[in-house]
Amino acid sequence: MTMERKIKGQYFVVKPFALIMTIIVMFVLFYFLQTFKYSTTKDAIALDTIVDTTNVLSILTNSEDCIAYNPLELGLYGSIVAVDKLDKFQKRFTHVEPECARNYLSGWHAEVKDLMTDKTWTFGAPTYSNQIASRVVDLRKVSSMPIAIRYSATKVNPGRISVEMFSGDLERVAGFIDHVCMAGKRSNSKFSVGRTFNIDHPITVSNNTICLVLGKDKVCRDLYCDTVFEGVSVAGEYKIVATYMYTADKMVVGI
Amino acid sequence: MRFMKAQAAEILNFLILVVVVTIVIIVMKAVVIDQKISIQGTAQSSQEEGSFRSGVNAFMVLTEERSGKTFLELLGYVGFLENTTVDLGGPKNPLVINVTQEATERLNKLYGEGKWNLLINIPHRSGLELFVVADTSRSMCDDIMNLKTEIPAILNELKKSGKPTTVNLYFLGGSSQCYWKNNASDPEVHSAVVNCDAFKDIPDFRCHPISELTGAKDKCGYEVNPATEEDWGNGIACVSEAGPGGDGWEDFTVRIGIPLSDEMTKGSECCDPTAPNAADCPQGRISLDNGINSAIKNKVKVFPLRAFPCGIICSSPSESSCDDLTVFRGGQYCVCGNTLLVDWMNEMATKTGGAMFDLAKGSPAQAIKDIAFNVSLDRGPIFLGTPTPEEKRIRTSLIAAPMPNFDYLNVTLKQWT
Repeated sequence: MTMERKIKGQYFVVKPFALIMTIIVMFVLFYFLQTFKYSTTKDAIALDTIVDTTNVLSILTNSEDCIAYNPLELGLYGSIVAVDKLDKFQKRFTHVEPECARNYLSGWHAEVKDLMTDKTWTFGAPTYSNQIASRVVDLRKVSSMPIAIRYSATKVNPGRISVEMFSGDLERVAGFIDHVCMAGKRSNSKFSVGRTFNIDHPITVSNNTICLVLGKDKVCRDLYCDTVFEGVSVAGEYKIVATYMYTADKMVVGI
Repeated sequence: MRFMKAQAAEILNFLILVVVVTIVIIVMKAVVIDQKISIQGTAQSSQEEGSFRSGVNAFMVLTEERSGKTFLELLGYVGFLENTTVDLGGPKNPLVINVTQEATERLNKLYGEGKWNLLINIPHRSGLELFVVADTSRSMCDDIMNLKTEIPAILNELKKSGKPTTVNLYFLGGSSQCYWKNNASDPEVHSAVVNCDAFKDIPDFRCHPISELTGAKDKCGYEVNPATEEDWGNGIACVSEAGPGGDGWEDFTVRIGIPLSDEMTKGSECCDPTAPNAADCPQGRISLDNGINSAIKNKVKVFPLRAFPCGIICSSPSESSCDDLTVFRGGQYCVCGNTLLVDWMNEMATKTGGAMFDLAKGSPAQAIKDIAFNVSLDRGPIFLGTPTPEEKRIRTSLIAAPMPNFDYLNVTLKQWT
């Protein structure tokens, strides 16, 4: 009798225990699979950033619409930039990237330096300080490559172009608005797109400037088009609808 | 007993489940890390490759400040002249560029010090082909007779030194009887007949009148047919084009052209001894340019021998027919031979990678010996930068640099990070 009770007692302890432990093991496996999925997504985004930065460098230095010297005269040589284009870009694109190499999911800032004279040119979106960047930017990557800076047929100096690419709420929202605007201009008609954003900081828009508000600080960049947008006053998830008004040549953005 | 066995089995099942799940987690983590390293490595490598190619393109079009020439052109000059320093000006306005130093500075800026090297592949030479274009005017008799006397021994010496050399002598004029005195105090008027008969039995030595290449034979192009017995500019042009024996050049030999004269090409008669000015001798200038251009095109280095222009010339065995060139025609031949002739010969030498020899300090045969012995057949590559490290990933680009003679030079650029 005693033996039977012991066996029955053990049976009622071991089986539930094994079941509970199995459930715990399953939860661990499930958790690992979830973190695995998150990790590969993060790696994919990091890889995209490396590729995007390389692409921006490549387009800037090889496209006539950007800063490349007219490649036809020099045959197939790339990576030669014209100094007059550098001057123009520096003047024109102080708070926004030029359309020729625009990436609508990220922002970038370029610096070109003449390695013989140390003269530099900068253009593109404004950069962030490290302190602010840590609060507003998810990804940041700097790439550079050597180039030739052409002053004339007999004066071509060695140079280096660096591109810093970064992505945060401001870049994604501004990129979305600009993208819709340019698509609308090209289609010569009213054009509307909606997208959902998870925004961590308030956003304001005034004339052609969009800003991210960080307490007392503000970080701003330009937009390609005249834009009417009330902005976002509180962090949260929003569906932003951007409409290009063809007749008024204006963007109207609502949430 | 059965119950105990069942419990043991359940615990065992559970343990197996835990072990399998742990193995799955470990394997998946290893695969993920491996993939992450591989993909990011590929992306990084692709970016570095793009950066390297960009640097190669940039380097080829960079210019040197003073000359305005691209480094692609300058490398071509280095390969053609087989010298790391090139003079793109002339004797009056030298423009000496240390190409390797300038290239090193720029490649250091583009890629960083210690992270690249550049190999300029100069082709090896198989032998030496040498021709002499001799002025046959009266004042050159003594120099030409010196060749006859001394050249056989020199050729013998060259042969013994293992340097395969053929020498071709071209006379610009026809056969001529000439007379001369060695100097003003020489009591004797010497005479000789200058033609190829005097040179016919010398081994490894060929003598030709220039007419072998010109006129109806047109082996050098009518526009450069030497017109006078002093037309050494066109003479160099003609033989450079036709080859030393008139049948073209051997491949990969060192090619040497030697004009021997004491007058400006096409004669010093156009030169004003009171104010020597090259602009007074446009025909001579054309002849000189023809010589330079043809020599460059055919990769001929020119070593002009300037014979002494201030000696004594005679027109007959009689002493009374002799003229002192220091005063003859106002010293025209002497003054112009010491000024414009030197400028022109230096210019031809500099632009073709040669050097001028002044025969006031030696004989033509001795000068030819110096030239032949000092010319090196071994043209090893020119190396710049840092030796290639073994443990790094090396990127390589082959650049074809155009040379002034329309050939191409192979240049290899390597880079690592």
